[in-house]
Amino acid sequence: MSQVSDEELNALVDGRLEEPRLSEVLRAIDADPNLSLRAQRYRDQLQGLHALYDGVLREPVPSHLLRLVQDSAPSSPITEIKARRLPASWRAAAALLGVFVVGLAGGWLGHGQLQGERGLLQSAVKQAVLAHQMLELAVADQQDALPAGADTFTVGADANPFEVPLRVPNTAGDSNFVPVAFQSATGAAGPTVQLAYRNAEGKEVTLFVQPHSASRKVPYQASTEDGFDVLFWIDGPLVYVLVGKSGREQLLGLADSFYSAAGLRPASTEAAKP
Amino acid sequence: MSSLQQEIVDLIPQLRRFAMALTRDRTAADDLVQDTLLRALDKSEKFQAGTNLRAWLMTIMRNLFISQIRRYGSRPTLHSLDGESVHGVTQPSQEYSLGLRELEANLTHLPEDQRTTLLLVGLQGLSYEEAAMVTGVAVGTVRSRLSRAREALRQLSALPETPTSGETTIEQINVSGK
Repeated sequence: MSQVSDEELNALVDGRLEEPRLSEVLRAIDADPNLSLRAQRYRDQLQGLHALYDGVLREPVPSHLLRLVQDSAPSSPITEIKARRLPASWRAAAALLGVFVVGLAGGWLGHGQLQGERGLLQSAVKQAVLAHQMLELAVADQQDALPAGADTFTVGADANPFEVPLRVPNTAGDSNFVPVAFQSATGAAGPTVQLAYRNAEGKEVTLFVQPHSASRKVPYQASTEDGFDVLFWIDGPLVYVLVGKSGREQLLGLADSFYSAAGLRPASTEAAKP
Repeated sequence: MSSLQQEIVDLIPQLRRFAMALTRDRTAADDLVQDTLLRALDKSEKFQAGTNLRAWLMTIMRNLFISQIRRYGSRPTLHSLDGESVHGVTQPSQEYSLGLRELEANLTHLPEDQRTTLLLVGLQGLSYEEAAMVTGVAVGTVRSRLSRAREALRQLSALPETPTSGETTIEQINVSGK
């Protein structure tokens, strides 16, 4: 009876042992209870791994991962977003929101230490989460003062610190989030805008917007920051960060509303590492 | 959607399974998949059509995961899998579930190279040659890492017999990666 090496035993368990050696090893295992038990333990390990993790294969793929691939065109050139001047008819709308020019309580959270687009996005996400926490505490019920009727409104020129129009939805997502607070701030990296939305269940999300030095399109990316769900993307010269605790799927629906309100569509994008 | 994009979409479930086994955390796993997809799309011009896309994606994921470990000093595991993530072919007994928990915990005691190799071959169904490509080592090293990983787990684990034990055959074990 030939000796069975460790590697042969593993190859047997992995189904990668071929004849004629396969038959010899099987006979050796039949004749040796210890070897047989060892082989059985290895098989149990394999079966255990599949029992632990194969359930993931049967789950639906999270939609943000699907979109990340479907909406990306890796070989296509970057889509330029044309800046448009704010229509005068929309300027009054933002005034109804109430504008507060404030500094962010936490400063720029190490902004200077972060370099490049990845740093910009990391910084934006941290600021957005902080802004969300602040707005959660400070938000007042201003719904009576908000423009009603229209699907979208454009932040007025007096309130919009960006060079491009900022158009946002009046009702966002399937569960009808409506804007309840608006802030703009100026910091070391430039101006920012924060819009708080709330739905009938009292759930709140914050849209944080800040400029990007280059005009780019980067599809939705999800992360978790300090226990908050975060979805962020770049569209043209602006970085958008959506923060809440309503789950990524709901954030994705809200993000679609913002895309739709902006008159943009998440196509022909260039993927980038955050 | 290009054929490459469709192929990548088709492989997302397998990427999620590998990421889940690496991170043992649902959110961290999907974040790792997301980072992998972003990196792959960003570097897609480097992928040669007709070559092994699955191995290429898993190479990216494995490298990103190792970078995370180096960055954070330890595995970026937040918490263990919850009960819903244990899916046996048959309803597992309590004893078997405990055995699975033990197996999952014992995996974390393995050196990273052994654990990854075991997951690539045993869970993802990669050939030894593919696993060697993903981990950047010789095929012989893959074999020895597998051998050491399994033996270490055997020593560590008291995984009970499976509910269908007794007549379990090698053919019952799914090694195809599906």
